[in-house]
Formats: sequence, C-alpha cells, structure tokens
Amino acid sequence: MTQILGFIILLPIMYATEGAKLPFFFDKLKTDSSLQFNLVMSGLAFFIYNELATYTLKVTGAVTASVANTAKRVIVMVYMAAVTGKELTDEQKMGSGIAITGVLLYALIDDLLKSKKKTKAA
Amino acid sequence: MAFKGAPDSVALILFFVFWYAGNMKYNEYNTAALNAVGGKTSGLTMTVATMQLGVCAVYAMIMWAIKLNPAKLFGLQAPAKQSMPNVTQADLIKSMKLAFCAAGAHAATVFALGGDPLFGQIVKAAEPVLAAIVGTVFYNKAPTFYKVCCLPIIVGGVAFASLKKGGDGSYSLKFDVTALVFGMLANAFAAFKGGENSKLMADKGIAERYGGVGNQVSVTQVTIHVVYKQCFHSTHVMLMCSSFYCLYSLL
Repeated sequence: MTQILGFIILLPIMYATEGAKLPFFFDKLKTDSSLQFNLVMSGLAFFIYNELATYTLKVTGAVTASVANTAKRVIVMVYMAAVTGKELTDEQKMGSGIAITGVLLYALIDDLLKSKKKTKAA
Repeated sequence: MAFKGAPDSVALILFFVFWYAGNMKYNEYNTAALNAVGGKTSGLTMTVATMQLGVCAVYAMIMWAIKLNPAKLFGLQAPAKQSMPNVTQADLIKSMKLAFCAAGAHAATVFALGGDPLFGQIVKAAEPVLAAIVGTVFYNKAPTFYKVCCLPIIVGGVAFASLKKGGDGSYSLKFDVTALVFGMLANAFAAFKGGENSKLMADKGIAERYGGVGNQVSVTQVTIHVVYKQCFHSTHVMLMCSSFYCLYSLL
C-alpha cells in the first residue's frame, strides 16, 4: 500500500519537474506508435532482463555473474553496432577489448591466485 | 508440488539466454525510443528514462494484482507466485538511499547511451574502477592488491577507445562527452548502489520482510534481490527519479 501511495503522491512531483516539455512528450506518445512501442518494450525488457539476471546470479554466484556480465557487454556492443549500423572504430574495438579483459581479470584474479580473501565482485 | 516445467538446469541456460537477449533488446528499444523523441538534444531523455520505470511500475503492480510472476516462463517453468512485499515504512526509508542510487544509475545510463550507444557501453564497462574507489572510500571495503592491479588495464582500455587516429597518423581524443560523463556518473551510482545493497542486506529484519514473501523456497540474498528489484524498479525508483531530476534541473 505504501508503494502505491508513494506513487500517487509522487506523480504531481514528476509533472512539476519534467517541465514544459511534458505535454510535447505526451502528444508524441499519443500519436507516435514507434515511441509507444519502444518505450513500453524498453521498460519491459529492462525489468525482465534484470529479473532473469537475478535468477542466474542466485544459482551461479557472484564470480560467474560478473564474468557473464562482462561477456554480455561484448555481445551487446556487437549487437548494437549491427543494429545501429555504426561501426566501432579500430581504437574503440581494441580499447573496449582491453577494458573488458581488465574487467574479466578484476573479477577472476583473486580466484586465479587462490587468494583466500573474499571480495564482492562488482 | 504442482507442475514445475523444465528442469532447473535447462531453465538456467534459458535464463542466461533471455537475460542477454533482454539486455540486447533493451539497448535497441531504448535507442529507438530516444530517437523517437528527437535524440540526445530533445531535452526528453530524462522523461524517457522515467517513463521506462513507469512501465516497470505498472508491470510490477499487475504482477501484484494477479499474484503471479510470469518471468519463469522464459525458463519454460510455471510462473511463480508473487505477492506484495510485506515491508514496513521504516524499511522503505532505510531503502531510500539504495533506490536513489538505482534510479540515478538508470537515468545516467540512459543519458550515456543516448549520447552514444556504443561508446556509452565501453564507458560502462569501467564500473569496477568506480566500485573499487567508492568501496574503499565510503564503505571501507578495499579491493585486494591484485584487483587494484587490474584497474589501470580497464582505464587504459577506455582511454584507448576514446582516441581517434587522424589522417596524418597522429592520435587525438575524440569521443562523445555525454556518453563519458554520464557513463561515469552511472558507474558511480552503480558503485554506491552496490555498497548500499550489501549494507541493507546485512539487516536481517529487512531481508526477511523483503524475502519472506518471495517465491523461492529459501530466503537467499538473491530472492530478496528479486523482490527488491520489483519494488524499486517500480514506484520508488520513479520517486527517486523525480528527485534526481529535480537535482538535475537545479544544476
């Protein structure tokens, strides 16, 4: 109940803060089917992927989750490059490769070195 | 026990697949939604970010209303039961910081991806750097020495991705500033979110009230997380998003 109450209380605040552009947004929302579709779908996809990520985390543990998360970034980037038709520059490819390798190492290094210190994977 | 569906191992693989797929689709729909309102200069990025959470809120309320959570269908399993979390007002107040961080991370991510959907992701990959800094400074949880050694690799990678080779073969910095600034902001929020989350989960009372109504057999940290997400990716995130937006517009 508190959540729903909070939601009702906050709606006016949202109206107040989103400012002058809000009517424009709603006009567009009413008429633009691409906006409707993409907005609803992005919200749903956001909710569901977070939930599914949590299910997998529950079964596999933090380290697997962060490795999977790292792999996910690669896949998402390749996919988005394909969808938007935007090529990654060579520098971006190499740089993200290096960065992602770094993240992977960060997640795994303590286990690899059999350190007994247990740290929370980010 | 009622009909459950696919074995857990199969379900797990499917959860992984749909997690990735969902994330990919999210990025795609998000970019399309942002483009539909006029792109990064439209002044409506925050509205889109907030409204996405609005969709989440409606979805969560529908689940509470029908008392079913269909997400397990993605693993070919029967939908789990879903009741409203039995949290107290004090729990909610304690959770505000977390909700604020979650909302901030989401909003900043949308801004970053709106700036450049690809470079935004690269910047977001640097999250452990912020997590390490925030953990050390604010939560007294320093990463191990070896982990610290990995951080320059991450920073170096992101820095390299920001370079562009000119026609004369010399390198110059060229990147989307919005994606970098908001990506790092998102990382900072996410880092604080991690810290607040573990702080909150250490509180047994809250854990039980969030998790006790969850659909899993054991009250694991993650069950709590599931219920938690449902609360916070819904109404309270909207709440915090609004406050974040207040701050943002003041700045």
